[in-house]
Amino acid sequence: MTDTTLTHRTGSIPAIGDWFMERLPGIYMVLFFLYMFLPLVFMMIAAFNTTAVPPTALPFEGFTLKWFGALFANAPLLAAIGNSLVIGLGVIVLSLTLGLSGALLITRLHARSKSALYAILVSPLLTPGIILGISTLVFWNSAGIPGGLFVATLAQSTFIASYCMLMFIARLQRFDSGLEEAALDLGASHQQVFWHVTVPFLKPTIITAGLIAFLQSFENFNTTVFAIGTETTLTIKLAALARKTPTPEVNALAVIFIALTVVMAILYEVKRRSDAAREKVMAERAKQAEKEMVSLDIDKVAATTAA
Amino acid sequence: MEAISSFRNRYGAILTTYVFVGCATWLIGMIVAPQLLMVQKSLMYSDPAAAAAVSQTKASTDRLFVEKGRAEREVRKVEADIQAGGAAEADQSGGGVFNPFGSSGNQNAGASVEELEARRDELIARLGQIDDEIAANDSALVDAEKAAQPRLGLQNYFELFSNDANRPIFFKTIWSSILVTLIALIVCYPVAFYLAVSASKETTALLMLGLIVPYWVNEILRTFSWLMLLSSNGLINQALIGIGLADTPIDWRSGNSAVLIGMVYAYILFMVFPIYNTVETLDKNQIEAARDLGAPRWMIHWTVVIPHAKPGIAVGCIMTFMLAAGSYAVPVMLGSTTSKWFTEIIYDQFYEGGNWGLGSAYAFVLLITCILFIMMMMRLFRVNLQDIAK
Repeated sequence: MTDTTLTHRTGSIPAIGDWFMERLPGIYMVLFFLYMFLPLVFMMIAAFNTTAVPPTALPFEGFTLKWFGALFANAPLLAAIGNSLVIGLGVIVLSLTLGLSGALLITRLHARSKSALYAILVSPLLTPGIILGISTLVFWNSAGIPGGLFVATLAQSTFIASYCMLMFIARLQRFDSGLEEAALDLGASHQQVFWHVTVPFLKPTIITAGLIAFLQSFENFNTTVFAIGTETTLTIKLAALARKTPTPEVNALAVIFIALTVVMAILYEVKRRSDAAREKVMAERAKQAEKEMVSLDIDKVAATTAA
Repeated sequence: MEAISSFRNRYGAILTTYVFVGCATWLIGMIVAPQLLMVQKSLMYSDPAAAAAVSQTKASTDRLFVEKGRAEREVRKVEADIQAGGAAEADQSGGGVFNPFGSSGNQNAGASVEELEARRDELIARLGQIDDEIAANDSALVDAEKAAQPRLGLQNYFELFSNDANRPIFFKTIWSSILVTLIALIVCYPVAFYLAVSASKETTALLMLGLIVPYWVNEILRTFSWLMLLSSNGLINQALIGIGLADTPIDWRSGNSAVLIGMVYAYILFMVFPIYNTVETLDKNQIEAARDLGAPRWMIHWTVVIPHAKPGIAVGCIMTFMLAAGSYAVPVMLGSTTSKWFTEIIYDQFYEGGNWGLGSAYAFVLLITCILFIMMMMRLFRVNLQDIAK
């Protein structure tokens, strides 16, 4: 099983060689995680350090919370957060609407043009963000609308809608269209079917897709920086601040961001597990029901043959 | 049309309208039309020399009008002096006012009426000249504006390859992005393999959760964390000096090193997740079987794992390359004037230089580069778009 050749090669100290080779993947993973997390940890420590300019984690000269206070007193930064929220809400509405329309068309269209449509609607995900920002800027500018919140919302939605569409498609592929047919047969109108059958089925995806759309929008930089014109958003402001005159306010903001991310990641994981558990229960119940139906059939067959 | 009618029979008029209008808006209004307009803009070339001539002619006309106004004022003054017949006031007529013929005449306290009349004639002659010059300028302006008018042509594209400042930056961006992609691939493959194969289910779930956190942390903040580490009194320089590897702080940001380090860090997780997703679907018995048959470790990877993980590797490489080549956040924060990235050049065209045609052409070149890279990877790994979008 183990690498015998390697044991021979290490010669007199095979035990250490074996020990090392066995632990190597683990050591590598530890190093990788340190690489991923240490920069973030140092960035967070600097938010609590009294050293002002430039922000640094070490030497740690004293614990303070004043940078958080300074952050909440920074009016331009708060205004930029306001802009980010406005864009984010616009992106949620637009991306969910467009993404769902794309998903419905692709999953339910039985035409040869389907794969071409799919390719084009997914293409924004494979396009560099700055290209989306530039093309949207050029497009609306030619109509007399300069870069700003509106253009940034549209530019971001171009690719965020693709994310939403992929999530809706994944959900719709597990949808039993027999449910819709049954509702129609029972006399429901098309709108009733959509609102009472399709939308409830899609609800979990609407929530997750909306959340992801907002996050994508809120932290987008490369597309926004081209489409935003003279306005500003949080990421734009943050980049300018961090590049020119970094103060620990940036670090304080980072602490808040990372804390929110951790909370959200944990919530997501909890939800995923409960969903998986529920699905498992449902699947078992379905199997059970099927078994009962089969046995019923057998009983019926047995009864008729007996008669 | 057939598709629409069959769709309407099945889903009703309102839903059909929503679906088709939504898709059309997105597809045409947000994806295709903006791209086409960007390409059209990139094909509109305006000669910078002609544009300079236009502004020069305009400035010259403005100057002539100023001169004309002053001369006219002086003529009125001189005529008033003649009317008064007095010579005493004449010496004030020139003071402070523009005088194209030097100070002769006006400064003479006892200028006679004849002298004043000569002066007036001179000025009137000059006014005629100015009118002629303005007319000449106006007709020249029409020609110059015609020459400066943007016209269809590929000059914006040729410009990139004849521009000795921007061309090397373009190629540097491509090579550096490939380098970033390669580094990310080499670092991530063992991580993805470990997560998908070696670790227990519980460990994997926990570690994946651990990776989601940095993945969702803002690109700007992730870059900022390295800005802190790499600054002249940052922790890396502190450590290097502390253990005696360096005497003075290393200036990481003057070259490309800081940008490359930051990019690998910012985009590495886009490589981990796709590879993990494909390796995870590999039947672990295949690895077991290969091992039992005596295949050495590298051979198991080369002949069993990597062929199976091809779509994931392709997606990871495409995403990493695309993000690196199109990144504006990392170079603008970690770079300096000596380590410009192609995206920064494009930004300058839109927000500093003001030549949108050139900027659009550069942007389109970047887009084509990414498309070529995607096609290359698809050919190399024999995967199609459907695999990628997964």
